Amino acid sequence: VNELKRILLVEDNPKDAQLTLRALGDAHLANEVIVVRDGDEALDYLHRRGLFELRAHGNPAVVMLDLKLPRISGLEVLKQMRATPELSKIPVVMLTSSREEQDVQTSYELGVNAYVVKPVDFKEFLSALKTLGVFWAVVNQPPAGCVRYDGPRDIE
Amino acid sequence: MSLLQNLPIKWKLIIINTLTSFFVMLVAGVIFFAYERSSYLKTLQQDIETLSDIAAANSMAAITFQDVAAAEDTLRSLREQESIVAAALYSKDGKLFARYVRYNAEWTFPVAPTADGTRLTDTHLISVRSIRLENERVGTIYLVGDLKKFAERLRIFLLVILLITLLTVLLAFIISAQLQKVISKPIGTLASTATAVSEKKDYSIRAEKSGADELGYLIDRFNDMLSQIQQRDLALHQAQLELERRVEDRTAEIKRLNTHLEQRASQLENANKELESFSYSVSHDLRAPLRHISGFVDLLAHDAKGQLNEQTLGHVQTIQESVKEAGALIDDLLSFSRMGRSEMQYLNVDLAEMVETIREKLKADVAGRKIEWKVGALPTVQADPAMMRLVLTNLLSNAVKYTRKREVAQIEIGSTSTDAEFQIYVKDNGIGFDMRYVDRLFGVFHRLHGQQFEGTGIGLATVRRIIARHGGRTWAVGEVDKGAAFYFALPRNNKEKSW
Repeated sequence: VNELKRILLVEDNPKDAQLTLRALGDAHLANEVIVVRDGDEALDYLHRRGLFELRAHGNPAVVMLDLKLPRISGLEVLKQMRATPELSKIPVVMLTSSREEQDVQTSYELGVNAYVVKPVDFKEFLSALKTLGVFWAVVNQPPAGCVRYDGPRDIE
Repeated sequence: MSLLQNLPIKWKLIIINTLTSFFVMLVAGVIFFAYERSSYLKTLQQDIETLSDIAAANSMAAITFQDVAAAEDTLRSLREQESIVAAALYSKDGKLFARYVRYNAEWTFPVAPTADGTRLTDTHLISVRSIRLENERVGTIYLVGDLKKFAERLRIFLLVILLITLLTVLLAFIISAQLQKVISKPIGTLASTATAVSEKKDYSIRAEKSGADELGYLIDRFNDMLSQIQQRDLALHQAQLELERRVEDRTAEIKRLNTHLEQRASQLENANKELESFSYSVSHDLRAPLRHISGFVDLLAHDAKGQLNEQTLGHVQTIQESVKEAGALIDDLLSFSRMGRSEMQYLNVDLAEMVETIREKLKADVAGRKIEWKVGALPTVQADPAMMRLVLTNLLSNAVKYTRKREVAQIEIGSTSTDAEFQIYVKDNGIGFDMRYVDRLFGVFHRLHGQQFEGTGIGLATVRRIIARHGGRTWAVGEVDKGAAFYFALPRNNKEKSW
């Protein structure tokens, strides 16, 4: 279980984070989910610096990125990840409410692995996430405690 | 004459006058000369004949008596007459009997006398006359006159005539040189005035009038013409100034309008940018709370399933439906606004194929319903495929929606074409509409059947906007409870029309 890689969820809206976590839980994802609120925190986590200086080694199994984030945007995070050799191979799923063509196009240009428009219908959203979970993470585990990251806490 | 052609009028007049005088004098001189010569010659002839008569009378006795000495005496008396060069007497039988030759002169007498008469040679006048006594010829007198004096006189006469001619010609030259001014001066004035006007373009110059003759008249008319030209020139100049002023005004006006337009354009551009960021915000921010409502209502329904009664579950369902509606509204609004600004891509679109695809997608909505589809021939058009799909989807789903209450719904899709455009129609036997409200059909949020049928009221507005962007037209025909027909027309040559 410990070897199961984590999922990094970058989402500034707590309600969306809550719904996503619930959806991931319902999809029986065994992976631990780390939630950060903005692009800065996401990059700090990935680079193991700042608050995450002391976190365990290893890259997340997948990064779920909200497009619209405070400070550093999702697209910028994606861009920086793709420009960093040790982070460039991490699968990135863009989670967004935007159907703007330019956003979709830019995301794919920057090397996103999937682009999911968060449907208004929660059931659709759920099925989309389930599909993603099957694809990138290990699901054949009983429901595990999905951990929501609420700021700095003890290091595992 | 052609030599005269290019000379100034002054010289023409002088030369004409001088030549005229010369020729007049020449003719007069020749006539005078001829007359003088013939009259003098006549005098000479008469003189020599008189002398001959006198000499004949004086020598009558000598001839009669054959007295040579007396005859020669008589002839010698002719010495007094300077003009007589030689004289001779011939006897009755024609022999030379007595002769006289003036000192220093020479003369060869004929052996026998010639016939009576007076003959003129180049240098002499020869008179031959018979001497008669009582009507019987007794001899002949032969007299030779000298023409030296005659020639001298003629020469002097010729000289005088020549002198007079020269004087006349000179006088004619001098006089005409003075008098020609009367004619040439006004003409010169006219010419120099015309030149000045032409060179300076100054139509206020006037030629000076010098008399009331034809030239004076000509100068008057010339001045009249100049006045007219001056007036017209002035009018033209004023018109030109006026025109320039108006052009300036217009230019200023155009500049002002241009500036105004530029301002409007940049305002519009800003407004467009604002609208874009607005719709971007809408698509993100307005969707989020809806998503949350939807999500948490679902969680609520899921987690509290057992605790809720029928009525409360109904409320939850209503919330879910309303959220779905709001989501659809946002989606439609966004796509409507996107239609106005997104770039168009003209491709060949097979409308028949597109209609089939859309019908396939609508199948879920029409499950359990009885619909008679009638799809006619549809053309391939030059259009933006995504936009055309939206147009046909809107029209077909409308047809499906508004025929819902019919036992057997009839939906017909077809086209008619003209040289200029393709006309495509979608007809149904649905609830139709009142033609009084036909203009409202294509407006945003204008719904004629709001209560009975779901929908956002944006579909037909989007159709009209898309067709307009393709340079086409949209219209509709309908009757309440009988059905409706929606038409759109696309121009045939729709290659590069983009904005």
